[in-house]
Amino acid sequence: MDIHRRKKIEIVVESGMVPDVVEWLVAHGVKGYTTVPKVSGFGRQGRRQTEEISRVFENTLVIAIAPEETARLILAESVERLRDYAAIVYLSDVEVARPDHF
Amino acid sequence: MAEILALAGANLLSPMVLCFVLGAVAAVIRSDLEIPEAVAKGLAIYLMLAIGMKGGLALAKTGGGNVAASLAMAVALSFTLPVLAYAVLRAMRALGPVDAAAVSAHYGSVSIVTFVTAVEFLGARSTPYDGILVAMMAAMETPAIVTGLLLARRSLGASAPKSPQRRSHLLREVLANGSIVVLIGGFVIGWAAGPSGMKKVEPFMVDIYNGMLCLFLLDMGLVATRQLRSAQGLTARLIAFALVMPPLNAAIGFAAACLLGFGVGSTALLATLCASASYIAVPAAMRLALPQARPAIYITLSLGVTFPFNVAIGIPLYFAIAERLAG
Repeated sequence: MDIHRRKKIEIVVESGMVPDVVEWLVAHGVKGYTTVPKVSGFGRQGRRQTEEISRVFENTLVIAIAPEETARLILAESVERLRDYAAIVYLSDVEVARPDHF
Repeated sequence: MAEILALAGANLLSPMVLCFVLGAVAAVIRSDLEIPEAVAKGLAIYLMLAIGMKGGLALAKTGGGNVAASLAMAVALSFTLPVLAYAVLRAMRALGPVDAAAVSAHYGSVSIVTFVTAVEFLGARSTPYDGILVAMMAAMETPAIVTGLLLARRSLGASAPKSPQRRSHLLREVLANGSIVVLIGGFVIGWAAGPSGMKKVEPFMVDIYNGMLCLFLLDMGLVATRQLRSAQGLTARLIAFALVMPPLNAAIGFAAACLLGFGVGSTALLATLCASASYIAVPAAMRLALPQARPAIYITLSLGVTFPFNVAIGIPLYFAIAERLAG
């Protein structure tokens, strides 16, 4: 089996921004993504939690896999784009079997 | 004065408000009591649908009065109340301009749960109200957001670009959010179905309404108190604002109600609407449109301070004043 290298992009972002983030990824040619809703934790914006009346303190994890060039572009753009929002973005190396899917 | 105290006392002893207190106590003693989110959301949908239907039914039964004037007044109130709140915050030097703009948007908008609690208060006193108040509540939710953003733009200036996509997300969040859809939908359904239609759902929509409200207020007590405890950045000045603004806004509501020629129940409700502050719809809109503002401030003030104040003290107070003015 041929192994193909790609980058995994993970974005932990406040839930209200997910439609915006997802549109942005797709605009960069990302072919698919996965959202893991209602994640909680802690960061510079304070405690992030989910059992709340308002969704404003809730986070979602968005996972996408893309070629390295696209991923680095997304990472670079994220600094300005997500500057005012609760968000972290990071890349890691992954291997996939079907290169045309990612 | 004695009458107001008696009303407040009776209000505090109602099962609904006591459930709120129970939730607050549970949070204070750090109980692990948790109303599951899905249950809370289900209760919210039920309450919005029920209050919408009640309002529509009331409108169908008693006719409109001046529907257009009432709705126009509601929109005007929502547009202008934030300006007062902003002025007060800035005069108190309580917040910077962006945070002040965000908070003021909350105080120009409404809390549906506060309204629902006030309706129940009226019901316990067999005081009728005009169904149009429900439509006015729906109309009052959004314009305040626009005003808040305009107030913020003055200080943010050019550093606040918004992409067209973000604007459309904001629009959808604000106009098509679940609560508004259910509320207005319920209103139309109640009005269209009329008394005979609504009789079919009475056991569910009317008879168990207060019980559901008890559960919901239990959750609200928990959540509001936890929010208050976890908030950073709250000053005494801000807490004072959150206690002073509701009666100030209520006064404007009384003036508007007099202009519209409302009876006691409707006057009390309009004052309550003006005095209430949003903590779901407006925060969500603020995160999208004004991310520089701090949610810990605006949510805590509206949910942790103003909401409990209105439920425990405000509602009976506004009712007592309404009786004097319109009785």
